[in-house]
Amino acid sequence: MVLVAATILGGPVGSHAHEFWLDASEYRPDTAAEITIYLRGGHYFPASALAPADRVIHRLTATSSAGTRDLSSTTEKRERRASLVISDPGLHRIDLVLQRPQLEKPDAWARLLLVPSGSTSDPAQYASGKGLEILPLMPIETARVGHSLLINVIRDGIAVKARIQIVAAGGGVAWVDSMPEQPAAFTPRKPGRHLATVTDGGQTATLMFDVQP
Amino acid sequence: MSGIIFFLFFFSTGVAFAHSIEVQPIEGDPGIVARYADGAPAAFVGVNIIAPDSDRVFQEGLTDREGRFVFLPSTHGIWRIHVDDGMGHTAHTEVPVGTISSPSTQPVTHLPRGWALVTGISVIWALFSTCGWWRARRK
Repeated sequence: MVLVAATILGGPVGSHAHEFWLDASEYRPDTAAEITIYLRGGHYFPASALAPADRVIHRLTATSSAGTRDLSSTTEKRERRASLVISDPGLHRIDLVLQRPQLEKPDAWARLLLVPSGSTSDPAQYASGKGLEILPLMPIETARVGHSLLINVIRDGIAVKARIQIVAAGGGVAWVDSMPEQPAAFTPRKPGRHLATVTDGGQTATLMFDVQP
Repeated sequence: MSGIIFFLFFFSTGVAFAHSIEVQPIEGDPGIVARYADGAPAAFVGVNIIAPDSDRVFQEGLTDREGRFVFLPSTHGIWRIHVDDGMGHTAHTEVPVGTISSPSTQPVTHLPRGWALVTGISVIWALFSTCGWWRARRK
C-alpha cells in the first residue's frame, strides 16, 4: 500500500511541472480551410489553466512547403489563439518558442503537426534541427490505436537519451525511453489527442499529435 | 481499489511544485532574489513593486541574470513585490523599509517541494485510513 502510494505520489511530483502545448481546432483540415491554433498550458492536459505572457513568446511560426511565416496570437481567458489558413496540401508544422527576454536560450518549445485531409507527410520534414525536439519517425497521420509509433528525441539535430511522457486527452499516462541508437516505441491505447513531453537540461519540449481509432 | 488509485494519481498531480519560484528579501537592501525550486536563478522574470498603503504599481522591471531586483523606495513601510516569469510561475513577498516595528520578513511563496510531498503523503494516508474505517464500519 505504501509502495503504491509512494509510486503514485513520486511520479507526478517529479514529472508534472506544468507544460505548454499547441492545439488545433482540426487535425486533418481541408486545404484552404481556416483553423484556430491554441497556445495552452497547465498541469492537467487537455484543460488549459494558463497562457504564456507576450514577453516570453519568442516565436510562433507555421512551416509548410510554402515556407515559414510568423503567426500572431491573442490571449483569450486561459489560453492564446492564432488563426491559420491551410495554404497547401502538405505538412504544416506549427512551432512555439518560449524564451524569457534577454536570456540566450529558450525555456521551452512546443510543436504541433498538422496533415491536411487526404494528404500524407514525410517524417524527414518534422525536424527543424534547432533545440530540443520530439521527433516521430513515422508519418504522424498513421498513428493508430494498437500500432507502435517510433519516436526519437533530438537536440540540435542529434539523437539524445531522454524519457518521454505521453498523456492521452482521454486519460492515461505512459513513459517511454528514447536512446540515441534506439528510438522509443509508444503504442497508443486510446484515440484522440496526445501530448508528448520531454525535459532536458532545464528545457522542455512538447509535441501534440492525434491518434486515429 | 483501482478506482481509488486512479483517483489518487490525478489528485496527486495537484501537489506539483517542481518548478515554482521562491523569493527572498535581500538582506540590507530593498530588493529580492528570486530562484526556481531547483535552485536556478529566476533570471529576467517580471517584477512589480507596490508601495506601502497603495494598490498602484510603483515600479516594474525584470530581475537580473542572478534573479535579483533592487529598487529605491520613496517612503518607509511594507513594500509588496510580485514576481511573474510569464510562464505560470509566480510568487510574492513583502520587504520592510525603514523603522517598522515588527516587519514580516518571511517571504510568501509557493509551497516548497518537500513540504508538498509531505502534504501529499499525509492526504493519501488520510484517504486510505478513511476508506479502511468506512469498510470496517460496513462489516
